Amino acid sequence: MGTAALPRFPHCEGKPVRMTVLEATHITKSFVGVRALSDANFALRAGEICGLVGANGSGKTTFARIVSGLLMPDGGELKLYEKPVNLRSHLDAERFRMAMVHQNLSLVSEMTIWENISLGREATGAMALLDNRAAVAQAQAAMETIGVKIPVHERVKNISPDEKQLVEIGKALAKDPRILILDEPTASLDFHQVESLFRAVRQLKDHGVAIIFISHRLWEVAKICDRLVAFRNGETVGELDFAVQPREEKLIIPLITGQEAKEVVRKRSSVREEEISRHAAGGVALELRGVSLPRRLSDISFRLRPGEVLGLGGLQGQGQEEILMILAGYLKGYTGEIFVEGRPRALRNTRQAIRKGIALIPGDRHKEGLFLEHSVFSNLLYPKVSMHRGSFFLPRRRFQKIATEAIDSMSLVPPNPRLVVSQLSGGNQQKVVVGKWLALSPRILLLNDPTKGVDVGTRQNLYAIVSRLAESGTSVILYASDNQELIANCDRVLIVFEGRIVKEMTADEVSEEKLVVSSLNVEHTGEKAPEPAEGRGA
Amino acid sequence: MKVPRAFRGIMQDSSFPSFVMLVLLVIVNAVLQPGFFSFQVFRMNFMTFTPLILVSLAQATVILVGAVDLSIGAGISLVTVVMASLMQDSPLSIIAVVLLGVALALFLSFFNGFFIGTIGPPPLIMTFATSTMWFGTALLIRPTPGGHIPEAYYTIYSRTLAGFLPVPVLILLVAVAFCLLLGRTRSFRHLYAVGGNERAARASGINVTWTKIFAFLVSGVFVALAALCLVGQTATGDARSGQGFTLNSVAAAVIGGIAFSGGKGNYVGAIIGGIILGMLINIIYFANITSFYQEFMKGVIIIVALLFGAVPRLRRELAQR
Amino acid sequence: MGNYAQAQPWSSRVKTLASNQLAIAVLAVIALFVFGEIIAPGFLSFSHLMSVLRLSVFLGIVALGQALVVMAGGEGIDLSVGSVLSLAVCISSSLLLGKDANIPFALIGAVAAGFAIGLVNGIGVSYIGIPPLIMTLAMASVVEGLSLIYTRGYPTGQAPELLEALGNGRILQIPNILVLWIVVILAATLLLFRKRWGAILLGVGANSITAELSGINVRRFRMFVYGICGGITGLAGFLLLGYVGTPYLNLGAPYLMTSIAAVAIGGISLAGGAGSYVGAAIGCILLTTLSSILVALKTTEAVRQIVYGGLVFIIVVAYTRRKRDL
Repeated sequence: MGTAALPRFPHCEGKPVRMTVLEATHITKSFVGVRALSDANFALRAGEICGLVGANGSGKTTFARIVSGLLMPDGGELKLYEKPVNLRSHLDAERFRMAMVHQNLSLVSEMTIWENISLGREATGAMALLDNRAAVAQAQAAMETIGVKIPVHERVKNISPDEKQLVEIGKALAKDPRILILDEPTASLDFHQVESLFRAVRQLKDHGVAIIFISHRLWEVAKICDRLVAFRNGETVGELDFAVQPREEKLIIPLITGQEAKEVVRKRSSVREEEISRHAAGGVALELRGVSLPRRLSDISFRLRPGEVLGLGGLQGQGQEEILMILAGYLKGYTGEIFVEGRPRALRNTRQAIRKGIALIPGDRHKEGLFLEHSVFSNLLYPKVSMHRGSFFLPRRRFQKIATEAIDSMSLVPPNPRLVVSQLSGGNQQKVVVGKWLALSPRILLLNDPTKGVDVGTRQNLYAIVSRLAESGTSVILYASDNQELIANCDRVLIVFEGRIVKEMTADEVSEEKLVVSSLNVEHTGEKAPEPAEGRGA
Repeated sequence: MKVPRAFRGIMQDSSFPSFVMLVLLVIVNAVLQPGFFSFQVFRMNFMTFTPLILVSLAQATVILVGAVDLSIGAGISLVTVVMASLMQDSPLSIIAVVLLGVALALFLSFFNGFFIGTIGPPPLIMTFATSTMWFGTALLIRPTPGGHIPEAYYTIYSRTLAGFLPVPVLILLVAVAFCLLLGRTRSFRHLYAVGGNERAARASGINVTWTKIFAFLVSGVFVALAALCLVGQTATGDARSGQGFTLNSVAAAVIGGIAFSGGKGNYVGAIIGGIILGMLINIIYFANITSFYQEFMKGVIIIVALLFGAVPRLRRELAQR
Repeated sequence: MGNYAQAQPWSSRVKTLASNQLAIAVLAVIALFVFGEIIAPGFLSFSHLMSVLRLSVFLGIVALGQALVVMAGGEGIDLSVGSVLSLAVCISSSLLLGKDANIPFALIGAVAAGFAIGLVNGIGVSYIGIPPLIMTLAMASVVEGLSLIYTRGYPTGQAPELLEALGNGRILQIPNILVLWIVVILAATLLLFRKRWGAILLGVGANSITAELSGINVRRFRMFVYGICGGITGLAGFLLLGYVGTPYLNLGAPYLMTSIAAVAIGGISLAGGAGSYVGAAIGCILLTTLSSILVALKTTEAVRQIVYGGLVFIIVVAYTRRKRDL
């Protein structure tokens, strides 16, 4: 199987006619008696950025995997460069100069950036021995294209998650693809990096590369894509062509959910103030004074009222996670004082934190939040079991009731407590991660970027639950890498920069632009503020 | 204390703690063993060190790819038993049996590697099972130690070439040359990838199965060399002679900075680890500890050495938490 | 990864697979017994069956400790059980000196020694971060040395009547020790599935970070699991003395390999977080039966080793499910 003919640009009256590099017609796929795809149709032309959207369970992920060779379809036809093909593995797909950017799944942390970029395609010189110099040069070129400044000799384990994502992208670019599939490429990136990525993507487009952009972040899809295709219930349900239609999320959402988009209405802050002060009779829920962690946090102080939703904003990795981890009792060795409901508490381990009513929803649900091979029941009950005291045997019936209640409140699909968690969708898995704390009635809920890689429907669901909890008096601290989420859900936002709190904003003051500016801590240094990213808020 | 940047890089290398340990041990050993720095003693020491270093390299290779090989000791025993049972005095026989021994060592390693690579049973149990099988086979061939190794062969091991190069050191240099060559191949780089993050390696198009088999084959080369040395040293085939090598190989590799999780560490560390272990055994012997205590001391010292090696990582962990 | 509603709940599929393994193991035991009867008539007689089962008990108890360590996760394993078992036998006999009155001391001594050694393993693994394989392998040497030091090469003492009665006697034709084991099996199964400690263990083994975030001090918990394994092994040594009567060095050596094999046969994942003791118990019976057959065939140690190794090899390869590439 040799490489397919590379796309040329036949000119027709001076206007380039672009080749359809990828065409999928009537693709079907089933798993164990379940129809994942019943009728998927998709076409992609050279030099075009096409978005691929859909909720978890819509079939878009399955489709993406079929197109990139990871899965074989049951029926339908796939054409690459206008010739029918039969992809048996993702290596086959690579031979057709297709590259897919995974969600940080293909990096080896002990190796350097350049070693990772050349992994699997190492340049060899004489006698099939490695040619490291060529590999380094290639890696440098790839990273420059996306505008990344980290030296390629740095080991991947030493760089931040967003930088890792960029390296993944660089790795795909180094393969010099004609078709590029980006699967949630911006999940860990802040707006600066997203801008850099978009610049690189536009450059590729100008060179005739065809790009599929899969994302849950609809405003980004609206911004960068020329077209988009929406999936729902296993079939292609609609297309938008931004050459003729306005770039508005409002138009996308109905395609995904099949319903009219609900305007997410934020409660007016006066209403929220009233709700919060109703609970305020209980005093301040949480107070930090001068909390520091060597090399990570300095002098963090803030107050949290009962029923309040406090956001932590700022660029990635500035210390927001550390604040949450300290409050959860997981990170040790902090100095400073913490007061829970007015009384000084030492949060020296997770058990003490949980006893004080603090619950943490961690950032990586697979690594930190779930027992993947255990049942939903087992996962949902674990914190309760952990804190359980007294009876000789575990009270099975009572626990089963608790599980059923949690499944109901979280609207878990499918609502079967005996299912193994690894079989649930990402969104439902996240529901389990949140749901297991409900039985303990936490008074302070900590959320560490809870909606990363989670679809629109689940996201709304989760925040509805958070909002309900807040109304009933639970305080919430929310760290979200996505500014829109902070704006939509928080009563107050604290911006963290290099381990310090540099700004506080109320819900009325907050906007995308202001968040960006404070995140860069620009006001203090007096530099000119950069062009604010486009967003809804401003 | 401000450490110059060049040094910091070296200090962060995984084999650095073992290097420090080595220096300390050299001092202790020099004190205990008379004539430590004389050529005679140096040569004699390396006659014992070389097999240890070789098994350390063998184990290190397997650990790097994310597995472990508990059958190294039994494999060496089996090879020595076979060689001692077949070797005759003629040079032709010597060469043929040596080649056979190498082939056998490679086959034994390939056996492990093949199943671990293709079907994927847990390496711990798999190699535990094969070690029992090899041990039983060796015992079957030679229930008691014995066999015949021609003088022409075993005297080679104690010879010194050109007046300054003991044969064990030569063998070691051959192994080192092999290591250097290996380091420049694609499969070796893939070894680190598979050991570091198997999923990522697969996603990058690396043939994981072949890489694992490759690792075991490379390990087999080192095991073969170690068996050749052992036979040269003891001139007998003994089904139990390899028993101690298993723990030693694992300890040496880990002390040398090879991370047990895979994908981290290098051959320099493995070699240093082998030397360290040799010195430890020397020290126990020369410190005139009664035989009852020797086994005990060896275990304790290995644990202490591992502790020592774990310190920099612990410090880093504490700093992060 | 698909999220599509499963036509067949996955959890029940897992259960079917596990019970398949159990079914295979039970069938294998039955097949072995039949084979044994063919080559040595009288093999299937009640008294011989009871003998074989009795012998399985000691391995069974050691395998319990091993199973707990493996289930606790972190690639947990205890390669020192063989030497701890030997040491426990020696300690018990030297404290008993053939007197019934010394039984409580000897029992406490054996269990305490095993527990202490287990704790050392646990500290090395959990707090210092030495991989369990290496830590316990090195401790095996240490403990072997301790045995030598303690006994000066010559183990003394013997089992008193009461203990021998426990090890060798019967109630209504059923060996006392077997009754004990049945109680242990029940207790272990209840512990794992109905008690808080067991549920926590399975969580710690499945994902230690998740467990920690749920309020468990994982390091301390794992350390104690190793301690408990050592204590259980000490108990096994105490009981084993009742069976053999007089001690000798390295009595426990064969139990290491077989305890790990039993855990593997029992379908307990070496990665931790799953499994049940019943499977391991059946594995113990299987291995002991096999050993009995090999003895009946008058095989040499060499052949026995090959057969053991080969059997474990086949089982391990057959039981491995290739992890699908996600």
